[in-house]
Amino acid sequence: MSRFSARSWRILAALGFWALIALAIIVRGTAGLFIAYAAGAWLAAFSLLAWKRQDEFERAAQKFSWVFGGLFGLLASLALLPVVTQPGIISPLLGWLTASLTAPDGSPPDPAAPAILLGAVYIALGQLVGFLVCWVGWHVTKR
Amino acid sequence: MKNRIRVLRAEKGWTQADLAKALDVSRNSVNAIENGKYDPSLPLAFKIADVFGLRIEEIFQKD
Repeated sequence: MSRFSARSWRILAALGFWALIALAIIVRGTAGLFIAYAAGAWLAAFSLLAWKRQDEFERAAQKFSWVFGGLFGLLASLALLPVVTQPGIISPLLGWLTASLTAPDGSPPDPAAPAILLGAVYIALGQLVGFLVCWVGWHVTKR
Repeated sequence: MKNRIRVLRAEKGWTQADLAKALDVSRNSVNAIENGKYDPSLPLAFKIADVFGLRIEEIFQKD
C-alpha cells in the first residue's frame, strides 16, 4: 500500500469522497449527514497520504496554489456574489438542495440550512477553482 | 541560481528519469531544477551533491 504514488492516493481520495457524497445525497437525513462527514474524513486521510508521497517540488506547487489560488478564488467568489445570487441561478439550486436535505419521512429542512450549505460549497468551489488555475500555471511556468 | 546538473547528468549518461529515481523525486522536479525554474531545498541539494559525488558549491552557483 505504501508503494502507491501520490497520484494514486489522490485518485483514491477523490473517487472515495465523491462516491460517499453521492451516497449521502441518496440516503439523506441523519444517516446521510454522517456519511457526508465520513466523506470529509476520507478526503482528509487520503490527501494526507498523497501529501506524504509527494516530492518537494509538488509540495511547493500545492502550497503556492492554495495560498494564492485559494485567496483569489475566495475573492472572485465574493466578487461574483451579485451575479450568482440572481433568482434565475440561485432559486433552482436552493430548490434542489431543499429537496436533497428533506428527510426520508418527508419533513423539510430548516429553511436556512440549504442556503448555508450552498454558501459554504460555493466558497469552497471558488477556492478549488482558484487552486487548480494556479496549480496548472505553476507547472506550465516551471517547465 | 545556476547549476551544472544537466552537464553532470549527461557525463554520467543518465536520463532525467534516471536522476529522478536516484533522488526519489519526479522527473518534472529534475527538469525544473535543471532549467533553473526551481531552487531545491538544502536537503535535496545535498542529495544531488551526493549522487554526483561532488560538493554543493561545485554544482550550484549564484546567478
